[in-house]
Amino acid sequence: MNHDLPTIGPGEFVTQLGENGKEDAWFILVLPDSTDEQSAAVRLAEEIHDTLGLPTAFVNGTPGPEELVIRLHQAGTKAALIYGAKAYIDAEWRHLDLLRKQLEGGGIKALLLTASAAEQMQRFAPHLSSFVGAAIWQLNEEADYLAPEEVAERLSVLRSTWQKDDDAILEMAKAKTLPPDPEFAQWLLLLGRGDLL
Amino acid sequence: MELSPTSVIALVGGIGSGKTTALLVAMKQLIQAEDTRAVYVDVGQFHDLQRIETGVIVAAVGLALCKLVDKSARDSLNNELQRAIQSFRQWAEPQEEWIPYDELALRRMQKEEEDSFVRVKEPGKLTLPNKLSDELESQRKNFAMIREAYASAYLIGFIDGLDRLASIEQFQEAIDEDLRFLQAEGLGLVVTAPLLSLFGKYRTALSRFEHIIVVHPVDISGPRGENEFLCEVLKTRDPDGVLSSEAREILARDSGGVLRDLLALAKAAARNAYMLGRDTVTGPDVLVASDQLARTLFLGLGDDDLKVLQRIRKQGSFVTTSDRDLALLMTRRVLEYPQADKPPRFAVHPTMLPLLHLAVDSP
Repeated sequence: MNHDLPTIGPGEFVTQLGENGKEDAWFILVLPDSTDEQSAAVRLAEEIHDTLGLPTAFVNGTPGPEELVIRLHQAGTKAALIYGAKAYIDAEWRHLDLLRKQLEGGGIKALLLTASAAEQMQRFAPHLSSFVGAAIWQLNEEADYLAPEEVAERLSVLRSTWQKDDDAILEMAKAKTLPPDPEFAQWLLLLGRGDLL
Repeated sequence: MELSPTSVIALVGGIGSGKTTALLVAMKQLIQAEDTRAVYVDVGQFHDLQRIETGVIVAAVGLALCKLVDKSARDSLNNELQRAIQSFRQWAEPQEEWIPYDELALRRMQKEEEDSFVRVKEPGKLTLPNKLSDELESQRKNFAMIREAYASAYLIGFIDGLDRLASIEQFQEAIDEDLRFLQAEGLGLVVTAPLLSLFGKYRTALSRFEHIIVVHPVDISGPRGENEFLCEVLKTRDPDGVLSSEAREILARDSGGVLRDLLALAKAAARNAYMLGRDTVTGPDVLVASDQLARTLFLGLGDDDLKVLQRIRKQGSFVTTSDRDLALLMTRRVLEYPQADKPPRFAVHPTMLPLLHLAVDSP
């Protein structure tokens, strides 16, 4: 039975983080086993900076759940990328589950895991899993490359939503008058003009 | 609680079923009475639940009362009361100190040798300064004075967070002496308890409670307009009308009546809609969100679990014969709905149904 998690590209994942507004929320990104989580964290931080304009803290949870919580609170930024939890044993997931209340507050948090760690979390940290809800995806580096017709469709939605054409957006970007809305960043990227961000 | 404000009640329910909401609603209602005051604590916010022990609940309730007394009568506190508050805080509060990781690790090693305790600043209040149980009785006089200063008549303590304890032994150890202490000080208590305590050998954990209230998910197939209730919850949370009526209907259905899932699905559906540049959440946005949640609920399930889920889906029957079966209930893959004059109805979480159907249809 195929019930894999939905896939997402790094850019779209970051846009999902941005769509959450200012609310406190947790997101989980499952990385392929072959992906180095620290490199992935750096790449995501760049995306978060470019797309959302937020500074990002890197929180290394390797020493254990308690240190993860302390470091998360010490970080105190609006966005945090948490790695190192993929090696947790069952008891550590149970412990993190008991610390669930202390994971609240402090903006957007993205937890990087492997598939097996995500399964462990679901089994041994049910309160945390419920808190995360449906905000869990597996990373597909290729997923951000849209088919030409998908690009056209998204551009069309953006044009009709904002009642502007591509030239107007490019002019505003060049004049640095484009609002800091993630959708405009996406618009420029779809036009192949990420250099104007 | 209105009729018997010094009773001790256990509030039991599945994850996300609305226990905290129920506590807060009850609290709001009870404090309408002139002679009743209330105090709410989430023990998990105050303390690392993994290390819960005798004295932690009293410390959490006492500290909350200190804050309330400070807030309501700061300028009129007499010296004796000030001393009581100070002494109680000294006993109960973790020392405020930042400890960077390396030093923390070092102190931990020392702890094993010297039995000293590591202290960290709020909100990382993970360990406490003393072994609270050793001095619990010595704090009784202080506690009584603080309690009296806040509420001279009835005081009801709403104790949240203990339902997260996976070990029933730990739950029992945590509540035993503390509830006795608080009852002796005249408090009525409503305590959230782990869902596991409703089953088989774990039931003894609830023996010291006078009443047990079970919070079930809302049964949308019920005859009393429960579906409308869930849609109303969504409407209240969505004053701008971002959710279409079709979206609300599907959200109510797919949540299985689990309040947290209702809201999580609504958020995920809204993100899906915004990603497509739309301002209104429609039915298909919810269906995508439901599929996302279903896929997380399938994580970590084995073949035996899937067989149990298929049986429930087809026959509605569920007999818990093992801890693994109970885990399906604890993790809300299986939902239990009470029925009047009939045994409860069991159902698979509605978001999982399409994928379970597919599994049967696929070769």
